[in-house]
Amino acid sequence: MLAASITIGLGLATVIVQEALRTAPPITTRVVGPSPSTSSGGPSPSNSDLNSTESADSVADADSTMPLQADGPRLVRFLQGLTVEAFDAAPNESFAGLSEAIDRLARAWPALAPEVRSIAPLAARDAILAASEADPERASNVIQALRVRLDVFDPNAGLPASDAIPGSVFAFGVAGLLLDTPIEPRLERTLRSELNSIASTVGLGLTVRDFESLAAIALTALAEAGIPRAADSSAPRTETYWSAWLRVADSLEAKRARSIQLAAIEAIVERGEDPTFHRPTSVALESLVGSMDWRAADASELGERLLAWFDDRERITDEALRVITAALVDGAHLPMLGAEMKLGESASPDARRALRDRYAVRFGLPQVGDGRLFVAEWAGFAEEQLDSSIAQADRDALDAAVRAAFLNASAALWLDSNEDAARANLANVRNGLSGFVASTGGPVSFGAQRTPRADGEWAARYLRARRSADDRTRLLYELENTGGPAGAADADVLAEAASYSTPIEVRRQAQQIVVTYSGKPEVILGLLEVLPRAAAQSGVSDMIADATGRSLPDVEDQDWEFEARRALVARSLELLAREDRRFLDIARTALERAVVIRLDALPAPPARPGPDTFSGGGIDSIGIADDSDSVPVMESYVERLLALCRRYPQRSQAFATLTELESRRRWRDRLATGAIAEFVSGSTSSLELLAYATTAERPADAERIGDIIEEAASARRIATSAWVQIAVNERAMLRLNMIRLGAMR
Amino acid sequence: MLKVVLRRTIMAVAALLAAAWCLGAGAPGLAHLQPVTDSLEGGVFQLKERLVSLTPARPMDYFRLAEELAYLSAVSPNQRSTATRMAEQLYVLAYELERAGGGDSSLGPSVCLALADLAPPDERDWLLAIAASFGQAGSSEIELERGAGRTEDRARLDAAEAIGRFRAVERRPLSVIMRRIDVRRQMVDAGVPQRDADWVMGLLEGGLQRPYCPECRNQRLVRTGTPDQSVEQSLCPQCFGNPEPDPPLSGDDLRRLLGIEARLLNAKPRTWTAEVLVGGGEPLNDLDPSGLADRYGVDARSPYWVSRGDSALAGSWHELPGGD
Repeated sequence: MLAASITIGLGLATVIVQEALRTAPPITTRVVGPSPSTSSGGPSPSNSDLNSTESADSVADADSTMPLQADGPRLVRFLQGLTVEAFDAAPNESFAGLSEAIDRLARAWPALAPEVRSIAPLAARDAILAASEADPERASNVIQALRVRLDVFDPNAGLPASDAIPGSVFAFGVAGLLLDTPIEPRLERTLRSELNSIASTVGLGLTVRDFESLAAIALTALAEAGIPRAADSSAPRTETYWSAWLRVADSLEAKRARSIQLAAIEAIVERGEDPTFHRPTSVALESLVGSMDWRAADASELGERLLAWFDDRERITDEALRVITAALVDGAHLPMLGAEMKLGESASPDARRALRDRYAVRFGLPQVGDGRLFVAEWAGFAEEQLDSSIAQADRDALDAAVRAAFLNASAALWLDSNEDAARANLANVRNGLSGFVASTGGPVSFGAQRTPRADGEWAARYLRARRSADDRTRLLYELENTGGPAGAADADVLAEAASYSTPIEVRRQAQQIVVTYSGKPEVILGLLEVLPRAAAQSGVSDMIADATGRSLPDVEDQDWEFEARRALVARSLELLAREDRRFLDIARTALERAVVIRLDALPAPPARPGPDTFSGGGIDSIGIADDSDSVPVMESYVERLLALCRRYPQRSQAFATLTELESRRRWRDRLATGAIAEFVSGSTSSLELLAYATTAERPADAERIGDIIEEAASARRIATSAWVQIAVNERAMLRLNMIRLGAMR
Repeated sequence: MLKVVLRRTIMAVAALLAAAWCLGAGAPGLAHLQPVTDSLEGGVFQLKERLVSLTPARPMDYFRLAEELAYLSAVSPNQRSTATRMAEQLYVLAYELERAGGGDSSLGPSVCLALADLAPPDERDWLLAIAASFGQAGSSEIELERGAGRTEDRARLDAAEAIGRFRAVERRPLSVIMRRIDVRRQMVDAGVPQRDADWVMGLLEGGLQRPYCPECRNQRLVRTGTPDQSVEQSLCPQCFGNPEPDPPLSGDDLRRLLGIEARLLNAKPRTWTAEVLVGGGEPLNDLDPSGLADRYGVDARSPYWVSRGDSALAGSWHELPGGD
């Protein structure tokens, strides 16, 4: 029986010996520990522990938390088995085991599983109490060992070693739990005095005595000790210290951890050096700011504290706030923060207040400055838009889309700290599509120059001069200098001359005139008419390419004629489109302009994947634009949003995963043919990505955001035109921006 | 040829995805497939009984029955529309019920691919894209129907040229093209609405009756006498140097013709104003599988089939077993 109990108790003792003999070869000798099968009911490490032949290195590496973490439950079980009877039955082994277990737990506790971590200090306390009852004198040695760990709290000791932080916090906590227990009275008084002294250095008392509260007091004291001093110049040492501090703080309950982290920031800002000139101080602040989850669903406390810092110019200097805001932006701790969200150097009080309000918007908290007036005005426009239904008529639907698009652009500008431009863009909201139509100065026309001749008159003279190259050259000069072809008859003859006349000099001259007057539809129609008879020569191909603004395959390519005809047909349609439908192109230009504004307002990605050129952005884009090398503006916007979304962790509350959104985008784009469908596709993708980013920004609004996306999808399904779909998407983005600006209805 | 390949691809990928689902569910797959006859009852084993026994707790039963009906519709022309309609409903119900049951939409891609196989060409790409957008294994095999090769389609170029020849009043080359190819067929295949194709064919046939400008035979110039008895070339008094169809095309007619040419050539104007002439401005189908029920007129709240009458497919869907 005794042999069996000896064997069962081997596990922990093996670890203890291995720890002691950390450089020794693998342990084979085992020391007897307390046994569960004794009448004392001692601890019972598992059978697997009994057969362990772990090498000394694998269990004794004090710097590695893995073995310690794995040992955690066993250590706790062992401590729970250290009853008075166990100490009586095997005092030496039990006291050795107690000291060793506390030592190992002190170093490892932050890495333990939460359920083990919560009972470990209590198990340690109870084991010490049992030890005190069994042998007060030897128990006081164990308590003394705890007290040694409290030495790091000595304010004169300088910056504590980072690896002493977990043990000292554990010791503080367990020692606190021992107060008011029947330990040796003198020792209890000493402990109480020491702990009170430590707590008082940071203005705290020991009123509440649960381990987490005690650990928080200890960490607050260590934060004070960790404030970088002027004499400290080692940023790496500071970083190591605060990393260790944060690892311990993160093991506490989230709200408590956040609270002491915020207090630590304030302590550094208030009593530390100027972070602008003292690198260790800025490193400490950056570590602390970066450690907190500013996007958490319950992050409003963080937001409130940040705003309070903005408001408290006495305590929180501009320099400190600059470091804090830079850490927020550079570390991408909040979605869609660009450089404008950093407090600038020599920022005025107004600038500080304006930035404060922009952060208030991010956190959905009240604003105090003039910004709230803008948001109120913006919200008024937005509500006006959202209160009206989208009309089905093309022009009305596009008008609704344009107004919403510029409201969205205005919101983006405001969030980008460009308040003046944001206000200016509200004018586009007021005027709507009609404002853009009026600003184009009437119908857009191409090649409207009047020629001094009747159509056909020049053609007849040219045809009559068929035999004289000189005469034809002269007539071509005349045509070029008198406004080009007067109509279809002149254009047809010019097209023939450019396509197959001889000598080649005349043909080249004609080709040049064709390109010059390619804005006239009759010139392109002339080329279309003559194409089946045209020589497949590089000059002709170049002329068609230049006249249509499209690249063509080599003339030897079997697709050349197909592609040439396709280019000419497309260009003809562009030039012949009805004037009374020009509002479509004006609306497109306006919508693309609104997209460009939003694109520019987004934080730039770290590295651009390619050239950042756009085909749109101005009324000029209605004309020929060789966009073979350019990226449509909507595509660039979607890419930028995507890059932004990739910077944020997946939110389980989001209506879809980013992978799903990317897949939808890819296939939606493949399904879309033509500029209009491509715009709708991009608009839908940008809506979904903005919703994804807004969910990351405001997890608490995830359900509302999901509803917006679902309602927009339903509205798109029953939409009667692409224009209505664009308006639906813009209005859905408007609702998202209302959330982002804190202007929810 | 392209369509045959596509159809094979769809079937292969759908089978792959569905088989994967079946394996995961421990289901027997297509074990119920029966020899086909020309009646629904004979073509699908216990069709009536299986329809009535369908229950939302087993979406895969809907899918399997849909597959059998889809197969029947493919090989039995007499039953095509009825079987296809029921297969579509069953597929959509399978997807919706799996989704409503908290499933992970693993049936979604298979359902979309199966529906694509039954769908007309203009819906097929949409369904294929939805299937692919699920991003599951096998989706990389999916290809949209549009693709390379069309630019090489000489017949479409010829059809477009025929329209151009008509505009230029060139009867001879027009008649050569119209003898060589079926212009109407090319237009319909390119997605030109039937009404527009009929209109163009009327114009082309009329163009064959009017060869050239009767005055100048498209030479633009005519010889005229002068007071001093010499002969001089002057602009044709009939066409003024610009031979046109008779009656002349209006501006809207010209745009409409060019729009049809653009469809034949898959030309893409860059302006929205021009693109609406080529059918642009239509709503873009969302890649949202939750829209399938709307599209196919299926109410997922009514998943129970209640049979009425002798025919297997005489009946209706209800919210409760046995009817409301």
